[in-house]
Amino acid sequence: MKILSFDKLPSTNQYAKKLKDVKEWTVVWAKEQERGYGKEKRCWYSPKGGLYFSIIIPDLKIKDLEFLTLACAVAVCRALKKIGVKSFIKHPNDILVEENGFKKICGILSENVILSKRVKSAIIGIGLDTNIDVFPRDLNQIATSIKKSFSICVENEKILNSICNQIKSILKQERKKVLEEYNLLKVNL
Amino acid sequence: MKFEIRIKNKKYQIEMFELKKDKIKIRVNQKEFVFEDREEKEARAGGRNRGFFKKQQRAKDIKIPIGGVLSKIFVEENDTIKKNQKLAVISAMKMENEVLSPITGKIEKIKAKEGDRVFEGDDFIIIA
Repeated sequence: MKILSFDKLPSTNQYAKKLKDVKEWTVVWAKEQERGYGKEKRCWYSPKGGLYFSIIIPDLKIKDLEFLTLACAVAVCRALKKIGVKSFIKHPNDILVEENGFKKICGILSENVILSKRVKSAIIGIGLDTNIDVFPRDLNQIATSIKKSFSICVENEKILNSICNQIKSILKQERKKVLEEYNLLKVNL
Repeated sequence: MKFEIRIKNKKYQIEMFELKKDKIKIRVNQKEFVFEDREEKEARAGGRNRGFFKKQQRAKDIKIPIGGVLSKIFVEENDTIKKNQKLAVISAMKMENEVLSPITGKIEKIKAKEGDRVFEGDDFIIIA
Protein backbone atom coordinates (compact mmCIF):
# COMPACT_ATOMS: atom_id res chain seq x y z
CA MET A 1 0.00 0.00 0.00
CA LYS A 2 1.34 3.37 -1.01
CA ILE A 3 0.82 6.42 1.26
CA LEU A 4 1.11 9.91 -0.19
CA SER A 5 1.45 12.29 2.72
CA PHE A 6 0.94 16.07 2.68
CA ASP A 7 1.01 18.82 5.30
CA LYS A 8 -1.99 20.49 3.71
CA LEU A 9 -4.35 19.84 0.79
CA PRO A 10 -7.56 21.49 -0.34
CA SER A 11 -9.19 18.05 -0.12
CA THR A 12 -7.75 14.53 -0.08
CA ASN A 13 -10.66 13.19 -2.16
CA GLN A 14 -10.13 15.87 -4.81
CA TYR A 15 -6.42 15.04 -4.98
CA ALA A 16 -7.12 11.31 -5.16
CA LYS A 17 -9.60 11.84 -8.01
CA LYS A 18 -6.89 13.46 -10.09
CA LEU A 19 -4.49 10.51 -9.82
CA LYS A 20 -4.49 8.43 -13.00
CA ASP A 21 -4.14 4.68 -13.54
CA VAL A 22 -3.79 3.72 -9.90
CA LYS A 23 -3.05 -0.01 -9.83
CA GLU A 24 -2.47 -0.60 -6.11
CA TRP A 25 -4.10 0.53 -2.87
CA THR A 26 -3.07 4.15 -2.49
CA VAL A 27 -3.74 6.49 0.42
CA VAL A 28 -3.73 10.27 0.14
CA TRP A 29 -3.24 11.69 3.64
CA ALA A 30 -3.26 15.36 4.63
CA LYS A 31 -2.58 16.76 8.09
CA GLU A 32 -4.96 19.58 7.32
CA GLN A 33 -7.61 20.23 4.64
CA GLU A 34 -8.50 23.69 3.42
CA ARG A 35 -11.75 22.69 1.75
CA GLY A 36 -12.61 19.29 3.14
CA TYR A 37 -16.14 18.24 2.31
CA GLY A 38 -18.71 15.57 3.04
CA LYS A 39 -22.06 14.60 1.59
CA GLU A 40 -23.51 17.13 -0.86
CA LYS A 41 -20.25 19.07 -0.64
CA ARG A 42 -21.00 20.16 2.92
CA CYS A 43 -17.89 21.54 4.62
CA TRP A 44 -15.91 19.09 6.78
CA TYR A 45 -14.04 20.89 9.56
CA SER A 46 -10.42 19.79 8.99
CA PRO A 47 -7.90 21.59 11.22
CA LYS A 48 -4.47 20.24 12.20
CA GLY A 49 -4.73 17.39 14.67
CA GLY A 50 -7.46 15.45 12.85
CA LEU A 51 -6.96 12.52 10.51
CA TYR A 52 -8.02 13.11 6.90
CA PHE A 53 -7.31 10.59 4.19
CA SER A 54 -8.66 9.05 1.01
CA ILE A 55 -8.09 5.47 -0.04
CA ILE A 56 -8.07 4.51 -3.70
CA ILE A 57 -9.07 0.90 -4.11
CA PRO A 58 -8.45 -0.62 -7.54
CA ASP A 59 -10.29 -3.48 -9.26
CA LEU A 60 -13.67 -3.19 -7.59
CA LYS A 61 -16.94 -4.26 -9.16
CA ILE A 62 -20.09 -2.13 -9.13
CA LYS A 63 -21.80 -4.64 -6.85
CA ASP A 64 -18.97 -4.20 -4.29
CA LEU A 65 -19.46 -0.45 -3.85
CA GLU A 66 -22.48 -0.50 -1.56
CA PHE A 67 -20.92 -3.14 0.68
CA LEU A 68 -17.66 -1.21 0.80
CA THR A 69 -19.29 1.93 2.16
CA LEU A 70 -20.78 -0.09 5.06
CA ALA A 71 -17.59 -2.10 5.53
CA CYS A 72 -15.57 1.09 6.01
CA ALA A 73 -17.80 2.09 8.91
CA VAL A 74 -17.18 -1.29 10.55
CA ALA A 75 -13.43 -0.91 9.90
CA VAL A 76 -13.33 2.48 11.66
CA CYS A 77 -15.26 1.12 14.66
CA ARG A 78 -12.85 -1.83 14.92
CA ALA A 79 -9.81 0.48 14.76
CA LEU A 80 -11.32 2.74 17.43
CA LYS A 81 -12.09 -0.24 19.65
CA LYS A 82 -8.40 -1.20 19.54
CA ILE A 83 -7.52 2.11 21.22
CA GLY A 84 -10.30 1.81 23.76
CA VAL A 85 -12.89 4.01 22.03
CA LYS A 86 -16.38 2.55 21.85
CA SER A 87 -18.18 3.82 18.78
CA PHE A 88 -21.44 3.32 16.93
CA ILE A 89 -22.70 3.64 13.37
CA LYS A 90 -25.49 5.88 12.17
CA HIS A 91 -26.66 4.48 8.83
CA PRO A 92 -25.05 4.37 6.38
CA ASN A 93 -21.61 5.25 7.76
CA ASP A 94 -21.44 8.14 10.23
CA ILE A 95 -19.40 7.13 13.28
CA LEU A 96 -20.66 8.36 16.62
CA VAL A 97 -19.55 8.19 20.22
CA GLU A 98 -21.60 8.60 23.37
CA GLU A 99 -21.35 12.02 24.98
CA ASN A 100 -24.50 13.70 26.21
CA GLY A 101 -26.35 11.47 23.78
CA PHE A 102 -24.37 10.85 20.62
CA LYS A 103 -21.84 13.03 18.83
CA LYS A 104 -20.24 12.51 15.44
CA ILE A 105 -16.55 11.67 15.46
CA CYS A 106 -15.97 10.45 11.90
CA GLY A 107 -17.47 10.90 8.45
CA ILE A 108 -16.99 8.76 5.34
CA LEU A 109 -17.68 9.80 1.77
CA SER A 110 -17.08 7.56 -1.23
CA GLU A 111 -16.62 9.03 -4.69
CA ASN A 112 -16.61 6.53 -7.52
CA VAL A 113 -16.31 6.76 -11.27
CA ILE A 114 -18.25 4.26 -13.37
CA LEU A 115 -17.63 3.60 -17.05
CA SER A 116 -19.98 1.11 -18.71
CA LYS A 117 -20.23 -1.80 -16.28
CA ARG A 118 -16.85 -1.18 -14.71
CA VAL A 119 -15.64 0.82 -11.71
CA LYS A 120 -12.97 3.07 -13.16
CA SER A 121 -12.00 4.42 -9.76
CA ALA A 122 -13.23 4.01 -6.21
CA ILE A 123 -12.21 6.51 -3.56
CA ILE A 124 -13.18 6.42 0.10
CA GLY A 125 -12.65 9.66 1.98
CA ILE A 126 -12.42 9.39 5.77
CA GLY A 127 -12.32 12.28 8.21
CA LEU A 128 -11.71 11.19 11.80
CA ASP A 129 -11.62 13.76 14.59
CA THR A 130 -8.68 12.52 16.59
CA ASN A 131 -6.62 15.21 18.32
CA ILE A 132 -8.87 18.25 17.90
CA ASP A 133 -9.21 20.42 20.99
CA VAL A 134 -11.89 22.89 19.99
CA PHE A 135 -14.79 22.91 17.52
CA PRO A 136 -16.57 25.95 16.17
CA ARG A 137 -19.73 26.85 18.07
CA ASP A 138 -22.09 25.47 15.38
CA LEU A 139 -20.39 22.05 15.55
CA ASN A 140 -19.78 21.86 19.27
CA GLN A 141 -23.12 20.28 20.06
CA ILE A 142 -22.96 17.65 17.33
CA ALA A 143 -19.27 16.82 16.85
CA THR A 144 -16.44 15.69 19.08
CA SER A 145 -12.94 14.26 18.93
CA ILE A 146 -11.13 11.36 20.58
CA LYS A 147 -9.06 13.86 22.55
CA LYS A 148 -12.10 15.82 23.73
CA SER A 149 -14.29 12.89 24.69
CA PHE A 150 -11.74 10.35 25.87
CA SER A 151 -8.81 12.56 26.94
CA ILE A 152 -6.34 10.59 24.86
CA CYS A 153 -3.91 11.75 22.19
CA VAL A 154 -3.50 9.23 19.39
CA GLU A 155 -0.92 8.71 16.64
CA ASN A 156 -2.76 9.48 13.43
CA GLU A 157 -0.52 7.33 11.25
CA LYS A 158 -1.11 4.29 13.45
CA ILE A 159 -4.89 4.76 13.25
CA LEU A 160 -4.70 5.28 9.48
CA ASN A 161 -2.83 1.99 9.03
CA SER A 162 -5.16 0.23 11.42
CA ILE A 163 -8.26 1.39 9.48
CA CYS A 164 -6.75 0.39 6.12
CA ASN A 165 -5.79 -3.03 7.46
CA GLN A 166 -9.27 -3.51 8.82
CA ILE A 167 -10.82 -2.63 5.44
CA LYS A 168 -8.52 -5.12 3.70
CA SER A 169 -9.40 -7.80 6.20
CA ILE A 170 -13.16 -7.09 5.96
CA LEU A 171 -13.08 -7.35 2.16
CA LYS A 172 -11.79 -10.92 2.55
CA GLN A 173 -14.45 -11.83 5.11
CA GLU A 174 -17.84 -13.36 4.51
CA ARG A 175 -20.22 -10.48 3.84
CA LYS A 176 -23.02 -11.87 5.92
CA LYS A 177 -20.81 -11.83 9.02
CA VAL A 178 -19.64 -8.26 8.35
CA LEU A 179 -23.23 -7.09 7.93
CA GLU A 180 -24.18 -8.79 11.21
CA GLU A 181 -21.37 -6.85 12.90
CA TYR A 182 -22.59 -3.67 11.18
CA ASN A 183 -26.10 -4.20 12.54
CA LEU A 184 -24.78 -4.69 16.06
CA LEU A 185 -22.88 -1.39 15.86
CA LYS A 186 -25.79 0.51 14.33
CA VAL A 187 -27.84 2.95 16.39
CA ASN A 188 -31.25 4.18 15.35
CA LEU A 189 -31.53 7.90 16.01
CA MET B 1 5.99 -12.21 -36.31
CA LYS B 2 6.17 -15.61 -34.64
CA PHE B 3 6.95 -16.50 -31.04
CA GLU B 4 6.12 -18.88 -28.22
CA ILE B 5 4.85 -18.11 -24.74
CA ARG B 6 4.22 -20.36 -21.77
CA ILE B 7 1.35 -19.82 -19.29
CA LYS B 8 1.05 -22.22 -16.35
CA ASN B 9 3.29 -24.73 -18.15
CA LYS B 10 1.14 -24.68 -21.30
CA LYS B 11 2.85 -23.63 -24.50
CA TYR B 12 1.22 -21.22 -26.94
CA GLN B 13 2.53 -20.71 -30.47
CA ILE B 14 1.71 -17.14 -31.45
CA GLU B 15 1.77 -15.71 -34.98
CA MET B 16 0.79 -12.15 -35.81
CA PHE B 17 0.02 -10.71 -39.26
CA GLU B 18 -0.95 -7.24 -40.37
CA LEU B 19 -3.81 -7.75 -42.85
CA LYS B 20 -4.10 -4.05 -43.63
CA LYS B 21 -3.85 -0.73 -41.79
CA ASP B 22 -5.49 -1.07 -38.34
CA LYS B 23 -6.43 -4.71 -38.95
CA ILE B 24 -4.37 -7.57 -37.55
CA LYS B 25 -4.72 -11.33 -37.32
CA ILE B 26 -3.33 -13.29 -34.37
CA ARG B 27 -3.04 -17.05 -34.59
CA VAL B 28 -2.79 -18.87 -31.23
CA ASN B 29 -2.15 -22.62 -31.56
CA GLN B 30 -3.97 -22.68 -34.93
CA LYS B 31 -6.96 -20.62 -33.70
CA GLU B 32 -7.26 -17.29 -35.45
CA PHE B 33 -8.44 -13.97 -34.04
CA VAL B 34 -8.90 -10.82 -36.14
CA PHE B 35 -8.79 -7.35 -34.56
CA GLU B 36 -9.81 -4.17 -36.32
CA ASP B 37 -10.04 -0.52 -35.28
CA ARG B 38 -13.79 0.12 -35.35
CA GLU B 39 -13.50 3.90 -35.75
CA GLU B 40 -11.28 3.37 -38.78
CA LYS B 41 -13.74 0.87 -40.25
CA GLU B 42 -16.55 3.38 -39.91
CA ALA B 43 -14.49 6.18 -41.37
CA ARG B 44 -13.74 3.97 -44.38
CA ALA B 45 -17.47 3.19 -44.87
CA GLY B 46 -18.06 6.89 -45.78
CA GLY B 47 -21.15 8.57 -47.41
CA ARG B 48 -24.68 7.16 -47.03
CA ASN B 49 -23.35 3.84 -46.05
CA ARG B 50 -21.43 5.39 -43.17
CA GLY B 51 -24.53 7.07 -41.79
CA PHE B 52 -26.41 3.79 -41.88
CA PHE B 53 -23.54 2.01 -40.19
CA LYS B 54 -23.39 4.59 -37.41
CA LYS B 55 -27.10 4.41 -36.75
CA GLN B 56 -27.20 0.63 -36.69
CA GLN B 57 -23.93 -0.14 -34.96
CA ARG B 58 -23.09 2.74 -32.65
CA ALA B 59 -26.35 3.88 -31.08
CA LYS B 60 -25.85 3.04 -27.44
CA ASP B 61 -28.45 2.70 -24.76
CA ILE B 62 -26.82 3.74 -21.49
CA LYS B 63 -28.44 2.06 -18.51
CA ILE B 64 -28.32 3.19 -14.90
CA PRO B 65 -25.31 1.30 -13.47
CA ILE B 66 -26.17 1.63 -9.78
CA GLY B 67 -29.30 2.53 -7.83
CA GLY B 68 -29.70 5.86 -6.03
CA VAL B 69 -30.85 9.41 -6.64
CA LEU B 70 -29.88 11.08 -9.89
CA SER B 71 -28.41 14.13 -8.21
CA LYS B 72 -26.85 15.81 -11.24
CA ILE B 73 -27.07 15.45 -15.02
CA PHE B 74 -24.31 17.25 -16.89
CA VAL B 75 -25.61 16.83 -20.46
CA GLU B 76 -28.67 17.75 -22.49
CA GLU B 77 -30.39 16.22 -25.49
CA ASN B 78 -28.60 17.01 -28.78
CA ASP B 79 -25.29 17.64 -26.98
CA THR B 80 -22.26 16.19 -28.68
CA ILE B 81 -20.24 14.30 -26.13
CA LYS B 82 -16.86 12.62 -26.00
CA LYS B 83 -15.89 9.22 -24.65
CA ASN B 84 -15.20 9.43 -20.88
CA GLN B 85 -17.17 12.68 -20.56
CA LYS B 86 -19.10 13.02 -17.31
CA LEU B 87 -22.81 12.29 -17.86
CA ALA B 88 -24.27 12.30 -14.36
CA VAL B 89 -23.83 11.74 -10.65
CA ILE B 90 -25.90 9.14 -8.84
CA SER B 91 -25.89 9.51 -5.05
CA ALA B 92 -26.65 6.71 -2.65
CA MET B 93 -25.55 5.62 0.81
CA LYS B 94 -23.08 8.53 1.02
CA MET B 95 -21.53 7.51 -2.27
CA GLU B 96 -21.25 9.89 -5.18
CA ASN B 97 -21.04 7.82 -8.34
CA GLU B 98 -19.96 9.64 -11.48
CA VAL B 99 -21.17 8.01 -14.66
CA LEU B 100 -19.01 8.50 -17.76
CA SER B 101 -19.92 8.09 -21.39
CA PRO B 102 -18.49 4.90 -22.92
CA ILE B 103 -18.54 6.37 -26.45
CA THR B 104 -18.30 9.55 -28.46
CA GLY B 105 -21.60 10.62 -30.02
CA LYS B 106 -24.69 12.78 -29.78
CA ILE B 107 -27.25 12.57 -26.98
CA GLU B 108 -30.45 11.45 -28.68
CA LYS B 109 -32.65 11.02 -25.62
CA ILE B 110 -32.43 11.43 -21.83
CA LYS B 111 -34.99 9.24 -20.11
CA ALA B 112 -34.61 10.49 -16.52
CA LYS B 113 -34.32 13.83 -14.77
CA GLU B 114 -32.40 15.25 -11.84
CA GLY B 115 -33.87 14.20 -8.51
CA ASP B 116 -35.30 10.94 -9.86
CA ARG B 117 -34.90 7.80 -7.76
CA VAL B 118 -33.29 5.36 -10.17
CA PHE B 119 -32.57 1.66 -10.11
CA GLU B 120 -29.82 -0.44 -11.63
CA GLY B 121 -30.70 -1.35 -15.21
CA ASP B 122 -33.17 1.52 -15.77
CA ASP B 123 -32.99 3.21 -19.16
CA PHE B 124 -31.01 6.44 -18.92
CA ILE B 125 -29.49 7.93 -22.07
CA ILE B 126 -29.46 7.01 -25.76
CA ILE B 127 -26.33 8.11 -27.54
CA ALA B 128 -26.39 7.98 -31.34
